[in-house]
Amino acid sequence: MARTKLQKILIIGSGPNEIGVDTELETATLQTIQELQANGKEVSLVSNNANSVAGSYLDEQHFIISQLNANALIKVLRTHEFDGIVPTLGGAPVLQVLHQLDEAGIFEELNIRLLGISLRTIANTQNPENLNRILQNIHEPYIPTSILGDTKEVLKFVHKIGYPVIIKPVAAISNSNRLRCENEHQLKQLLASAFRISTTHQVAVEKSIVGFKEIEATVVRDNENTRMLICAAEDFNPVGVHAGDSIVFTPTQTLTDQEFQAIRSSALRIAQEFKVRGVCHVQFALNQATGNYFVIRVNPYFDRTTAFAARATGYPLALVSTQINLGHNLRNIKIPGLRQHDSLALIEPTLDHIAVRFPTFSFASFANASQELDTQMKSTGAVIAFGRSTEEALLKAVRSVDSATTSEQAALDESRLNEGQLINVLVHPTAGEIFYLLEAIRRGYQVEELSELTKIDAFYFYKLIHIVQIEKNLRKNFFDINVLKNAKYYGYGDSQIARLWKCSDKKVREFREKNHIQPTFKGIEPTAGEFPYNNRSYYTTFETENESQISERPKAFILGTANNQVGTNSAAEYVTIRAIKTCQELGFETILINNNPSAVSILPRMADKLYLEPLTVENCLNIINSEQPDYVIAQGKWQIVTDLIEAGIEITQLPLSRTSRAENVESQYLVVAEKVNTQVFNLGCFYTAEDASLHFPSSVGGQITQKIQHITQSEIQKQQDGIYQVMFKQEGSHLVVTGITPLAIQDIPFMTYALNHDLTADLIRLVFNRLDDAAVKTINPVQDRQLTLEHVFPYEQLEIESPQNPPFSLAIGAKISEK
Amino acid sequence: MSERYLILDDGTVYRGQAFGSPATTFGEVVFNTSATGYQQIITNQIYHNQIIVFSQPSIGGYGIDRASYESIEPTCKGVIVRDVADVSTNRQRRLSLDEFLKIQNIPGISGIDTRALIHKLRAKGTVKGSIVDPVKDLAHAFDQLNAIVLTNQQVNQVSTPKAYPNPGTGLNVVVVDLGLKHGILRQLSQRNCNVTVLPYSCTADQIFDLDPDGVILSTGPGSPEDLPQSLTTMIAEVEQRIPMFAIGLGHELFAMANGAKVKPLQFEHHGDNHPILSIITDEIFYASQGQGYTVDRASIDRNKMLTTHIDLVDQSVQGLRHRDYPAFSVQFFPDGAPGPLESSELFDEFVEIMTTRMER
Amino acid sequence: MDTMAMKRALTRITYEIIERNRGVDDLVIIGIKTRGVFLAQRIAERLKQLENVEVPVGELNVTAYRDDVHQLDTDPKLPGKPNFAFSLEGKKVILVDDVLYTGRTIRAAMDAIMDIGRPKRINLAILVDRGHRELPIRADFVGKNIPTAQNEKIEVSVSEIDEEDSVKIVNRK
Repeated sequence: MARTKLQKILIIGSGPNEIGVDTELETATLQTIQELQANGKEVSLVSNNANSVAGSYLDEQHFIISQLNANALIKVLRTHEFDGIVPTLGGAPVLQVLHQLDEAGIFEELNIRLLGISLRTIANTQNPENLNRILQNIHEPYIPTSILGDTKEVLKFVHKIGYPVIIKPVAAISNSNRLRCENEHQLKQLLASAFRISTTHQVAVEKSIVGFKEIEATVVRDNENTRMLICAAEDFNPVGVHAGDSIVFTPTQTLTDQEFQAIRSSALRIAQEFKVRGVCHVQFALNQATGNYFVIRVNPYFDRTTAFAARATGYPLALVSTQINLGHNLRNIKIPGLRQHDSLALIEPTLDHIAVRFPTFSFASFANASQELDTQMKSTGAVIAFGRSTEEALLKAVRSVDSATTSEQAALDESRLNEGQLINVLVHPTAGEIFYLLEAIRRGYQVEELSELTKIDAFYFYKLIHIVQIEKNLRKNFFDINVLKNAKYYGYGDSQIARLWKCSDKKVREFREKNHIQPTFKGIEPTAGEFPYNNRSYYTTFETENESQISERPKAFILGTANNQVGTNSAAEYVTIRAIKTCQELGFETILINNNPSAVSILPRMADKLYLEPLTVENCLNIINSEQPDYVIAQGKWQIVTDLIEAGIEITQLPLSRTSRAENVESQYLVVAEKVNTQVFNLGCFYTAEDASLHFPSSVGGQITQKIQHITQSEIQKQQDGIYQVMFKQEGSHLVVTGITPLAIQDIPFMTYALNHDLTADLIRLVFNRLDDAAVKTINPVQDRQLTLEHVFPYEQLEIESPQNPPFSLAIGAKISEK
Repeated sequence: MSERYLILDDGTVYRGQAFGSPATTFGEVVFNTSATGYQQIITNQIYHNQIIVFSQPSIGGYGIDRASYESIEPTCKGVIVRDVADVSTNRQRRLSLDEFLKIQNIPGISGIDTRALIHKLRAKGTVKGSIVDPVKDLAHAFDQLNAIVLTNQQVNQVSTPKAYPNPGTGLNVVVVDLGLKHGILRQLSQRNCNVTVLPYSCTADQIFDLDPDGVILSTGPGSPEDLPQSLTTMIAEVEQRIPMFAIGLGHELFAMANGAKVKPLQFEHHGDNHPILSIITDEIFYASQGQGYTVDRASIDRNKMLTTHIDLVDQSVQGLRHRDYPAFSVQFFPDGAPGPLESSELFDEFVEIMTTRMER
Repeated sequence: MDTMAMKRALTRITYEIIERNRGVDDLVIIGIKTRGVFLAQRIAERLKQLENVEVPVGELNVTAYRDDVHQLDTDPKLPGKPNFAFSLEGKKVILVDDVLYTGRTIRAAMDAIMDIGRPKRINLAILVDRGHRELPIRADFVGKNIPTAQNEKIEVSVSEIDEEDSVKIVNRK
């Protein structure tokens, strides 16, 4: 019997960022923590993510640092007495571990229950055989798969499921690929060698769905079986490209009502059959030719898609899911925002905007990696963009990527590709695909041809043709008001237009403003304008109604961190959150611009006002013009900051280093020191190892400590107020200062945790001259614990060799561990 | 693309681009929040006299297809969208939305800030509007708009003038056509019913003469109060002898035939995202809705009828059942098209009622 | 019959009970053990939802009354006279069972009811009528008529004890 009391709850986190894991799970985790706490629960989080924002909302006792494998978690479960576990916030790996924990009998032994989904649901959805068996029972189409031992059997099976099929030798002697067979002749040929290289003389045969349309449904089910569809999204790329590397649209753009309803009904039925409580993401492959669909994945947990669903619709998915896990039902759950109708959580979201999720890549930093998109995910992040037409949403996404990070994106210049190269990238989708597709249209490729080559729905090519038409119009008509108006209406950015008009962005902007072509702000909410809604999130478009109400309060406009890239990102997200919080404490209305769909900072309870807009000069200026903020706050200096300053905006830069802690500086010790009102405080000393890992506390002895203290004092005394890191190298008995720099963003979350002191808050307060030195004096670092920070690199996932000492500006995440 | 204006009777002017028919049009402006199925919506006869605003910003993405007609000759007066997708052909050689509206002589206007327009409609209630050519002086257009009196003979105009069959080999069902939605016939076909569609002016005796196992009162446009009293008389007579299932406008008439009153909504409700409670099973589902009127809850005689379904957003009556006869009705559209299909099992319920009676 | 069909059948029977009885006054529902009891409870729940009235539900074990059970009085394990928390005097009884077959169970149930009180009327509600009656008994409310052969068996499952709601025809071995 599970104990009826459900007081102490453990959330198993997702671990550090990597390819395929942005901060989306952190986001849902934080919301869950807040919701559980609001319901009087004692919540703990176990994670090894050094940049965990959710962890920063818990005290030291409740943010448990541990590896996320079975042995480590058993230890955690034995030392704390938890009543329940939230299993849905760590992604698929956590479900695997939970299965192992169950096999170890730990849940029964310690009398712990899972919230939301049962172990049976996990086993049924995560094991492909179970999944297909159950889908078959409920007459839901699945991808037929079989492991067979001779050619005759294979032919019989294929006769039943139809061509094309994919075969793969079981337990092959050598590395073997999945092979696609279009007909019997080809199949027989390939089978012979496949059987030969299988050590068990078996092949796995599967119906091929490459080229089918991929649809993602996010549904919610409660404890009394009420189910609702939150979001259906459509992938631009067909099956064959990892869904995380595809552009995704919601609402679905090309589904007829029959196709849409079939998928909706199926997703709801699946949530019921698998007894999901809370959120569930079901992935479908749709055969465009017949309108038939297949269920390809059932994820009864939070993931990238559910994060996009929540942001695109404005529906508070994690809040509702947590309420369901606590035993409430949808009919009694209230959601913030809706001003009437008892804030009913049961109203199915419907949209009057189009939202797009657009993958971003970091190939400039990993030149050797293959840029071809396949079933292995390669994008390091994504942006979200909103518009009132498909073109506008898409162009805003492209613009987000265009602005500061072009060089990180497509490595090829599309205009220089020869015909053969172009066809090659059309047939084999490659990172930055959209630029190649646009180029093909410029060169006169026809819709049918493109659709045939790429298997992308013709609808999108009509949209791309429209985009190219506008581009041509712009090229032909310099400074034409009507052409400009039309281009803005369909989402062209000032900088994109400036490139076509061969002038500066500023000139376009001035011309636009002179002719009163001004953006309007629209609310992002889940009822398509049917109900009065307390909007908090906005996007811009060029229409008539402006919904953004400007308050009289002092305002701080904070530049968010945009899409996840290698380098500072998950840490920068952490700093953004602390910055928002501190600004709120200082009495500012905080206004954030950001466009990372997985970001924690875009959660409903974060900034007072949110603009989900491309981080471009144009969009920042739009907001600044409208809001007239008292301060514009940026984390250190990067391209957009420079550009905004050039545009005449005064920016309050947090004294931070965006490049990481002195990459080329040799050091063994790193002291964090803060100078406030002529006083210097030595906050703590870290040990920096050769592999760039950071350790706290450093194990230096008394004399050296004193020396370090002394040198730091005198060095920092020469600096202005601020927080610094002073790096030391030991040369024999001498200590040499090898560098003094502002804090590096990448290290701040770890240092904050180790020193048990909110460094970001100090930085903000310093900037506003509101830091009380007493607050710094009382610093109380973690005692008796050995903490280590290690960087996580994407080399393995990109299938390239890691260099000996990779620069940590190429790290994608960071791990924290405790000895 | 040429410019056109949408003008409203409160004096507002919206500039947009023409698509579909170039005719000038007048109608009540109502909005629909469905995410999919613009073709089903446009061809639904309930929009007779009305100009439809789509809240979904991009319309036309999958053209017009043969399986999505809800009537052969749509009677809505116009279509207002933010963006109309220009897909000239596609995989099934479908008509584009633009071509279709030209053929059907329905004007469309795109490039409208539909979100702003919906905010206005929500605050003002139903307004009259007109899609007109762009002229400098709109005074004349406004005069015409203010002078126009929209017909209240919508059912008369959309109901079939003559009875026709939709043969099957199963149960015999009479459908009284008040502005029939094909979805109802589709659902009956799936259940192999042998259907006879009768004009709305049919009498109880004409129905009895066909000896049906059940009678369906269809959906339709306009106000139930504008219809002849003979209809409610017919309903009151037939419900006593033959199982009855009434939908949409049919539901409103069924309620009136049993003593309840209907009242107009402040603004019409068209969409498919409201939760609906089935009282008897205590289950919640979603269904396609399109209504300008609602049954006044207070006017329902509890000794005569049971309330079976409630819209959980506004607590409005969505379903009724007679206490003494196997006769029931729903305000929403259980045939979907477009919209969720959860409530299509009401057709199964109807078939089972008919079967049980036959077997007895 | 699947979950949905079973749900619909019970819903329709509930409405028919209201139609036939012109409301729920003086109504009591008696379910025949085992599955009839759960069906009776479900009908009562539906009546409660619609009319906001608690209709009393009783459980009846009819083994002792069956004419094809011969060890009457000799088997101490058999239950004696049924005992309800409510009176049957002048009530309208709805007797509920899952399958109607020979009619012997229903006759036994009526004997048992008559043993303890004198209801005004007894009606019979049945989920499945499979035919092959051996007594002149007929159900007033039928979920579904499923004509069967003698060597077939109707298997009714209810989610309260069987994990799912379903009615299946199986071949008797």
